[in-house]
Amino acid sequence: MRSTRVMKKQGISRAAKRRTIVNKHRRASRSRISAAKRRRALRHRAGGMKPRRAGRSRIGLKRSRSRRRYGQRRRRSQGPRIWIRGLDRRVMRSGRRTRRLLDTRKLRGRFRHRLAAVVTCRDEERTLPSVIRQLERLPLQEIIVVINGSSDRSLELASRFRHVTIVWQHEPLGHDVGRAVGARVSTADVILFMDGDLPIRAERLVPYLRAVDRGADLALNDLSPFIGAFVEQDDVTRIKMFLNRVLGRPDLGMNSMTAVPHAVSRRLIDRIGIDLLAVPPKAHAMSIMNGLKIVSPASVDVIRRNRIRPHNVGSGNPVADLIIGDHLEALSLIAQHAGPRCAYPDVARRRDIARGDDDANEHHYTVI
Amino acid sequence: MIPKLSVIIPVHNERATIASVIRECFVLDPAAEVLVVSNGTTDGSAEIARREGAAVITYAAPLGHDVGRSVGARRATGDILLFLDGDMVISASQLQPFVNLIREGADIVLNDYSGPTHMKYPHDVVVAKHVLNSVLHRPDLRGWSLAAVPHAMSRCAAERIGPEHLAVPPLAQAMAVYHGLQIRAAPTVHVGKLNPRRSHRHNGDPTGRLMLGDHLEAIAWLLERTDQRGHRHDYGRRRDEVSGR
Repeated sequence: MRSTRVMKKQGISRAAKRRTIVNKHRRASRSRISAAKRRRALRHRAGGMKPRRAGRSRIGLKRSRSRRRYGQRRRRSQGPRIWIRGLDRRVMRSGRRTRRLLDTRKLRGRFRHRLAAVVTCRDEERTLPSVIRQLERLPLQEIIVVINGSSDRSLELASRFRHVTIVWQHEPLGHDVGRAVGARVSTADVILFMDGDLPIRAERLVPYLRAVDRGADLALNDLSPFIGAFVEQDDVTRIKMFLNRVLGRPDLGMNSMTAVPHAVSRRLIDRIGIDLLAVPPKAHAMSIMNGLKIVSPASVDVIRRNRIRPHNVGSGNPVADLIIGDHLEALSLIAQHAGPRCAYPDVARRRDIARGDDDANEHHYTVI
Repeated sequence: MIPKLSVIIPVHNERATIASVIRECFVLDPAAEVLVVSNGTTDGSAEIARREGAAVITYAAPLGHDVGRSVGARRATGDILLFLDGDMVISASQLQPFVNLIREGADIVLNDYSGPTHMKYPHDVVVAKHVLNSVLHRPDLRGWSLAAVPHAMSRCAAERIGPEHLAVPPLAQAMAVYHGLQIRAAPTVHVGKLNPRRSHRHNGDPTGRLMLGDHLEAIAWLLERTDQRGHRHDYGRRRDEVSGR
């Protein structure tokens, strides 16, 4: 209603405004606007729905402008949220939903660097094939699957894919060690880290690869949309936030290399060393301390979608304990490099007086 | 025998409130020993304190954050030490539970106050307090901290921690938990409302930065005594497998 009033004030009626929109589309149609868009504009003139407008995001992806909030269900008619601008789109029908998939052949020339993905896997036969299937849709030079401590058919299923490098270790390597092992095998300039238990559509992974391809050193998963108020946050989220703040990057919120997916540059690996990747918060802290460029280009909900297992549920669960320990290790690392107080010196406190060194010097103080 | 109460109040130019603060202490316990540690005061707070019946220790120069607590604790003769701030008037009825809980056998009684936590990204200090407690394996303490007033402790708790460490409250808290002292909480005193509102936009929030450093110091202290993971398991990480290749 407000917009009508404004328009009237400017001397433009609603009908005139609508004509302007249609004319704009007509003008554009001569050059490059699609027939469908023109039809939509004309339908709007006939009193139908508003023409759909699309905004362009920085990374060259086009996303639909919706007022939808996170967690709200997407309307069926709206189609996919992200697709690549200017690329041919295959339209695929699966079930009742129409999904447009990006044509990955067209993605190939769009990256400047050699790309790789490292998937760590331990007894994840149910999800591993779909993880690899999505990665195959991306222009990756290497897909490295680190299978460790698996007693199921993971190896057999992974070896059915043609372009997959498999690193097999009979015994479990432990949490996140597979990442470092995979990174050591890879020769690519950009490495995307994934977990074998969490299939993510290729479209959702493009922003991470693209960010690092365009000059970032570390592209983290932005978890902020999935986190509630501080009172409801768990200890792991809080300590992640604490680490970022201590390192002077409060803008990173609770984003961390602990969470997948994330992509790193070869420069990051060269700078901090591969070994640190086995303890992600240490790698994270070291990256920030080295002044590497860190961004959080996109969000994938790995919290609700994570497989619920007996050891990762509830407060004080073993995985939470492990991650808190990792962060403490990172804090020790910071203390080694920047002192126990890091960048927060205590200059004003008279610790000598607190200790009582001064008690004998009565002239410094008076007792009444 | 009724245990003797000592109240320790660091003061730095707080003439507007100091008289009421001391009066509430004597309402709480007329026999209390009230120790005012005046540092860098130029507005006559020390004289006001003396007139109200407090023992005053005066330092000409400011001592820095919370050093007054160490000075006061070392001179206190009571069996129960209650720590207050000169700029916050807290009624005797609100202070009573702190003293009572110590009498019931608690070593340390903290204010059940965690700061504003209803937002996604709270203040650095709020995050640091919660993290310190969870690092100390005491997530049940939430954001309770020795950094907030009022708090009370028994004399032997203060001696166990060491009075000099009371100047760095998060460090004292880490020591208290590490030494297995019994920590309890008294009903909330909303000190956030009593604290004057300060804008951190222009001055870079020096107190916040100091507190962040204090918490880091506390964590570093703990990690020195445990190991670099704070005795937390890493569930058999084969770190040699990475470098061994």
